[in-house]
Amino acid sequence: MELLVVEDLRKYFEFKKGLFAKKQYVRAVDGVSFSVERGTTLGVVGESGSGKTTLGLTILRLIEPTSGRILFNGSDVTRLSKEELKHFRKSTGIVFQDPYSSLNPRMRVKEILERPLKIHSSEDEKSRVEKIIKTLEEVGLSAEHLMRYPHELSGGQQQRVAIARAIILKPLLIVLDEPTSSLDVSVQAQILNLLLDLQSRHELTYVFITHDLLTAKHVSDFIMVMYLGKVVEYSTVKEIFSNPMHPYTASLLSSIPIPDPKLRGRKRVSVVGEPPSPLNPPKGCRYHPRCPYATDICELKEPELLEHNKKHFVACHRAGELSFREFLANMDSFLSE
Amino acid sequence: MRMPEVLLVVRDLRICYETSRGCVKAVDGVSLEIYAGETFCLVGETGCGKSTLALAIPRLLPPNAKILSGNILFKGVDLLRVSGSKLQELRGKEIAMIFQNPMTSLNPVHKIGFQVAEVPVTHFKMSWREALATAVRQLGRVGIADPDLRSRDYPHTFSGGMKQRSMIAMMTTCKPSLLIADEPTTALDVTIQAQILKLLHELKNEYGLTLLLITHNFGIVAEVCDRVGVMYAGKIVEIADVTEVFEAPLHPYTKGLIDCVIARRKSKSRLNQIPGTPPSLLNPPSGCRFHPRCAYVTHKCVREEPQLIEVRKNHLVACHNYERVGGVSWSSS
Amino acid sequence: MWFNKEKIRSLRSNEVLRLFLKHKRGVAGLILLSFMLFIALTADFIAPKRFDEVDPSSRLLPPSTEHIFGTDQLGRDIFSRIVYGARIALWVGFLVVMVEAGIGVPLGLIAGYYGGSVDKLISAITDMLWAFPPIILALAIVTILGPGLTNVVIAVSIVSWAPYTRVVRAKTLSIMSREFITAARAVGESSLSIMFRYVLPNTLAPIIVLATLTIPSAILYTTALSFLGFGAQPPTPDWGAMLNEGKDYIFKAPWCSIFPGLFITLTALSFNLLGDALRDVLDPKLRLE
Repeated sequence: MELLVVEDLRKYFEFKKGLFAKKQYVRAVDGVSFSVERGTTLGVVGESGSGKTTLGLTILRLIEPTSGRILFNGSDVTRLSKEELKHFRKSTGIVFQDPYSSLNPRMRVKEILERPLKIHSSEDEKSRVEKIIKTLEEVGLSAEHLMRYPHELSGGQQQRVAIARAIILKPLLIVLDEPTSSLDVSVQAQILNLLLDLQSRHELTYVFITHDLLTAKHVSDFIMVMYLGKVVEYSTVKEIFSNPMHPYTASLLSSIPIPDPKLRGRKRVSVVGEPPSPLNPPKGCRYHPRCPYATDICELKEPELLEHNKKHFVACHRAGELSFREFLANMDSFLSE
Repeated sequence: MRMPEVLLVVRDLRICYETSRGCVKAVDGVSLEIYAGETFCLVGETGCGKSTLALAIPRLLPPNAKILSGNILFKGVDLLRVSGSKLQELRGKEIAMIFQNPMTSLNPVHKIGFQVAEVPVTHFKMSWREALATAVRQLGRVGIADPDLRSRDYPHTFSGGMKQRSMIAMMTTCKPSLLIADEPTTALDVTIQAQILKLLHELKNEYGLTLLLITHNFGIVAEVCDRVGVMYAGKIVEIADVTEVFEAPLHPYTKGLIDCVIARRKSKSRLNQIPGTPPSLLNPPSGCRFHPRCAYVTHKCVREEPQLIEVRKNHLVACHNYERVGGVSWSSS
Repeated sequence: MWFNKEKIRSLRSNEVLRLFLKHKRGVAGLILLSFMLFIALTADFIAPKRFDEVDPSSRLLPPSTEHIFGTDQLGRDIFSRIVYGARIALWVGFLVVMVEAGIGVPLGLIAGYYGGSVDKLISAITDMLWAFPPIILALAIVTILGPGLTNVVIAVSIVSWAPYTRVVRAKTLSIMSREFITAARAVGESSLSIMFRYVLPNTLAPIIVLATLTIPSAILYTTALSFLGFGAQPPTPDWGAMLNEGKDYIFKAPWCSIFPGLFITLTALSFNLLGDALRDVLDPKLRLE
C-alpha cells in the first residue's frame, strides 16, 4: 500500500537581487514524482544543491509547495485546513542532521517530549509521563534523562531524544535528513541500528535523505538520486548499486571513499568541474556540463524520467547505451552481501 | 632496505585545555614518528585529541591550551622550544596547514590572488608582481579554471570546493615539507571530495610532500593513507600500515571502528556497534581508557595503563590483550 | 574545536554566577544596588523623620548629627527624603522597563517570527520612533497628559521601547533559522506557542542585559522630567523633584542638590556596572550560540 505519493512537486524560492531587478527563482525542487510503500525506506541521495532537504521539508508541509500534489495515506495533503494539518502532523515526524540544533536548549527532555502529547491528546500528566518514559526506553535512554537539558547530553543521546520526539505519537511516516552525518562513526552504527529496529517494530515508513551512499544502501529499499532539483535515477537498492544507468549516479558511486585499501586507485567515472548554481541551471540536461558522456542532444533537450527496466527509472538521453561496469567491477566484492 | 627518513617526531606530548571545570587532558602522552614522503592518517572520533595534536605542531593552539610537557621535533628542531621568529619562518614555508572549513579559513576582505601571493612575499621576499604571477600559476595547478580572472575575485564568489583548492594553493606555493590537513574534505560534497583527495595525492608526489591527514572517515583513510595512527581519549592506541589496520587490527577500539563500517553487510541487517560513549577527559577511567567499553577487558586493564609498543614489524599497539584481538576482520577474507 | 564546545556547555546558571562573581565592576554594581534596595525597603525604619514633615524653624540647615544630609527649604530632613526617594526611583525605573519590554518584546517577536510585510511595518514604526530625541517626545507627551509620576512613566516608556524590539527581533531572526523551530512546527505547535515557548526563552539573555542597561536611562529621564516640574508633585520625595527644588538654593544650601544628585548618579551607575558584567558574562555565550 502506497503511503506517500508525490506528483510533479515543485518548490521555487524567490530571489530578488534589487528593488527593480527582475524576479529570479531558485528551482530547488523542480518536478519530482515518486511513491513510497508503507513500511519501506526511500533513500534520497544527492549533494548540496540537489534539493533533497527542500524536498523532505516540502512533503511534510513544513515548506509550502509551489505546485504539485502530495497524497498521504490516500488523502490529498497539499492544501489543508488547520484541523487537517494538525492531524497530518500527528502522523508524521522529522529528524534533523544536527541533533543539538534540533532541540530547544531551554527545554528539558521531559518538556520536549511532552509537547507533542499535550498538543494532540488530552491525557493527564501521569499517563503522559508514562508514555514518555516508555518512548525513552525504546530509543535507548531512560527515566534518568527526563530532567536533563540538551546540552547535558552527548550527540548520540541528543539524536535519540530527537528520534523519541518523532515517534512518540506513533506516526506513519518519518523524514530523516542526514540523521547520522554529524555523529561519530561508532554512534552512527548505534543510531542506524535503532532506526531499523523501530522501523520493523512499528511498521514505520522512512524517507531517508543522505549524501552518503553507503548509509543509503544499508537502510533503503529504494533509492532516488537527485541533481539540481530533479530526479535523475530511481530504482531498488540492488539495481542502483549493481547497474547504475545515469552518469551522475555512477560518478557518485565511484567517488565514495571505500574503506578498503585494496580498492585504492581504482578507475573512477570522472566528474568535471563544480556544481552549477541553482539560480541558473544549465539548459537541456542539467548535468551535461559535467558529464563525460554528453552529446549534442544533451545540451538542447531535457531528458525525461523514463522506465528502462522494471522499476528502474532514468532521466538520461543515453540511458541503456552506457555501461559503468568497468568502474564498479571490483567494488562488487566490497558491496555484495 | 633503506630506512625511511624521519621528518617529524612527537615525544610524550601532553596538552590540556583550561576550562572552568578543570584542565581537560586533550593529549595525554602521545608519541609518534612521521616519515618523509608518506601520508600519515590520524584517526579518531570527536574529542580524541587528533585536532589538538595537529594544531600543536605549527603551534596554532587556542589561548586556553597549555602544553604541559613533551617535544615536537621537526627535522631535528624542537618546535615547542624554538623562538617566535624561527616559528614564523617555518610556518608556511616548511610546515603548512589546511582546515576543515574553507569558509572561515580565507579572509573575506582580500582577493584570492592576494592571499595566495602573500605567502611567497613573506617567505621569499618576492616582489608582488612575481608573487601574483606565481599565485595564478598555483591556482591553475590546483584545478581552478581561468585562474588569472579568478585570482581577482573575493572568497565569497567561490564554492566550497574552490575555496579548499585555494587554501591548498596558498599552502603549497612554497613547497613545504609537511602539509597538515585537518578534515579537509568533511564539509565538501562527495564528488568534490574525491577531486580534492586526488589533488592532494598529485601534489604530494610532485612536490615530495609529507602529508599528515586528520580524519574520522575510514574510507578516506583507505583511499589515501600509507600509515595510520588511531587515537582514543587523548592517547594513541595503535599505529600501523594501512593494510594492517584494516585487515589485522590489534586494538579492540580499532577493530570496533573498522567493524562499524558499513561494508559487506546484508541490507538492513544489524551493524556492529561499540557500546557506551567516549570518556570524560577531565576524569578518564583508570588503567586503559578504553576498558569500560572493551569486549576483551581483564583485571589488568583496569589497573595498569598499557604502553604503546611495537609488537609486530612496524605495528605498534597499546593493549594488554592484543593477541586475543589479533587480526581477523571482514577485510582480510 | 574542543574549547568552543566546552564554552557552550559550561555557561549555565551556576557558571553564570561564578563568572559574574569574578567581574569586579559587576560585583561593585551589585553591592551598590543592594544598598539602594536596602534603604528603599527599610525606609520606614531608618528614616528619622517623615519625608513630608515640614519644620519652618529648621530651614536650610547644613548636615549635622541631627540631620545627616541637612534640611531643605521647608525644613524637611533631606536624608529621610532621600531614603523614601529611593523607593520611587527604583520603582519608577522598574516600571518603565516593564512597560518598555511589555511593548517592545512582543513587537520584536512578531516582527522576527512573521517576517515579510509585518516585519517591515514594525521595523519602520520602531525606527521612526527611535529617530526622535526621546526627551523632547517625552516632554510632548507629558504636556498632553499633565504632570504626575504615572504620566511620566507612561511618557518615558512610550518613547523608548525601540531597543527591545530591535534586540528581540534580531535574536528571533537568528533563532528562527535553528532546526528546533522547524521541529516544533513538525510536532504541531501553533505560532503563538512557538513564539512564547521556543523563541522567547532563548531571547531572555539579551533582554535581561538590555533591561539592566536601560534602567539607568529610565531613572535619568524620569528624574529629568521631574526636575523640569512634570513629574512627581510636592511633597513626593522624588530625587529629580528635589533637584528642582534645590536649584534655587544652590549657592546658599548646596546640600539640597548634592545629595539627590549623588544618589541619582550612584543608582544609575550601579545598574550600568551590573549590566556591563551581565553582558560580558552572557555575551560570549550569545556569540557562540
